[in-house]
Amino acid sequence: MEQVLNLQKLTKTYEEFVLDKIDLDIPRGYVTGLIGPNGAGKTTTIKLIMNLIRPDAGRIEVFGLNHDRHEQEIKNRIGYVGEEQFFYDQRSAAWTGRFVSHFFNAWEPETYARFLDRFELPPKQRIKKYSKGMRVKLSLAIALSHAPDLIILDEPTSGLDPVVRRDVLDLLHSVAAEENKTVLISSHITDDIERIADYIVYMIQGCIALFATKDELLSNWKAIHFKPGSAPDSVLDSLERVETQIFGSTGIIRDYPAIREDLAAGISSGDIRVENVGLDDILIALVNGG
Amino acid sequence: MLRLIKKFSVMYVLYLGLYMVLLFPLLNYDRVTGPDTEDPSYMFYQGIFLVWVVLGALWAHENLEHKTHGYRFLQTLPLGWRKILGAKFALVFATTAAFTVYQSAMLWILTGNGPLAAASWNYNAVLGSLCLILAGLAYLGISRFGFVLFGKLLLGIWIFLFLSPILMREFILPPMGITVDDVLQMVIGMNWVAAGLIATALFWGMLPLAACMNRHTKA
Repeated sequence: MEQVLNLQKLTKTYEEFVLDKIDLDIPRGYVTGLIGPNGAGKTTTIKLIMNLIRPDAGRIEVFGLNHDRHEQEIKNRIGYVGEEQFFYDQRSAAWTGRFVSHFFNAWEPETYARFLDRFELPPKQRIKKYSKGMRVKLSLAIALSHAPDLIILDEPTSGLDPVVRRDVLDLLHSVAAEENKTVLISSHITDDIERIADYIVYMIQGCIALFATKDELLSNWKAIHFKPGSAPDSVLDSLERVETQIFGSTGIIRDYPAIREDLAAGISSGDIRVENVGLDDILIALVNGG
Repeated sequence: MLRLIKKFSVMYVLYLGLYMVLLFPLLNYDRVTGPDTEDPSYMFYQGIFLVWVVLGALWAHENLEHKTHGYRFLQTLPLGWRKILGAKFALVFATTAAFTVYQSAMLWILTGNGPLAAASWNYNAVLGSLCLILAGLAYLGISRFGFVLFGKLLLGIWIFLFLSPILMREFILPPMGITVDDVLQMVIGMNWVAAGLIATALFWGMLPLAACMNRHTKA
């Protein structure tokens, strides 16, 4: 599979945080979700990819190009929506569009105007009067108006109301699906990622804890509910986050297909029940050392 | 590049415009309406405005960019640091050149083609050279330490420069037995072509250095 982004032993050290030699490949043409709790290193990783901060060690290649030597060429092909949106606030969206159009090789003014219209952003109003949601939308409009091959979004839905959030996610989903773009989106809101991502990367404490397709994760990770004494030892050994209540216990299993047969008897007797888990359950299991 | 220069030019145009339209006429009111004093020390005080205007515009521009998060916005665009800083360096260079030419031309017009007018070109060209080096050093400082830290120092230098002619005349030069006229003659006596060439080379040489420092300090 062709990679659009390749990180090798990427390291960045702050006083109270270390991004620790992470290796990561982002496949072309898919939506990859970067999930992790606050402070896991998602934003640091994205800032490093965007060359907004310098790595202490490691290598970053975007589109097969060294991110440092080919910064301008790479940024021309990336649509970026940061955690915070910075513009010249005294200026309008119309002015901003004209300004950035000079720097992007493939700027499409009609596309930009269409996005402003779709997002209901008044083009002549000063950006400082925009709400948080409007700023995200403006950032998204810029990111999508220069035919980027890779779209990078850092917590784009954080702080947005549910209606705007859904709108933004639907747009991203359609752009990724219809225009075959590669999207890397970070969020601690797992519902957002679950909605649009094909691949999932879990980041915990500056490390990549897990990287898999969403389908693999959701079919392999399951919640097992079992009555006392009903689960075989092979199953009990594989369970994580086991919580015991009055009528039974519940645990998370990473590789459900591997123990499916061991559970068959318990399932048919009704002593064992298997349920799907969400990406947030997996995150909690990983954070708790699973 | 032109688009960036246009975006960054607000403060430079404002400072230069204020000097040309307001300050210069005020400073030279006596020369137009009253008896012309051919006192060369007059040039000494007026010349310092060159450094003051350029460094003032530089500080005001950087302060504005800092407050409006301009750098953070520009960083996300396909622009290298060198291009961003290159536009700023070009503006400093153009402002210094425009000021030097304007100041000399106006003094030539006001005083006639006398010895003072001839000396004013040398004096302003040497001061312009000094200004370029100071501006380059200012960008090295901003790139290395950031505007929050270095901006305060730059503001201090700017205020000092404004007061420096008075300080020099009243407190620094007298104990050394040097007069303002001596200083003026020394500056006028310098080779302005060599000073200009060396300063220009040093100034543009500081651009890649500042870009490199910026890349290594951003965090």
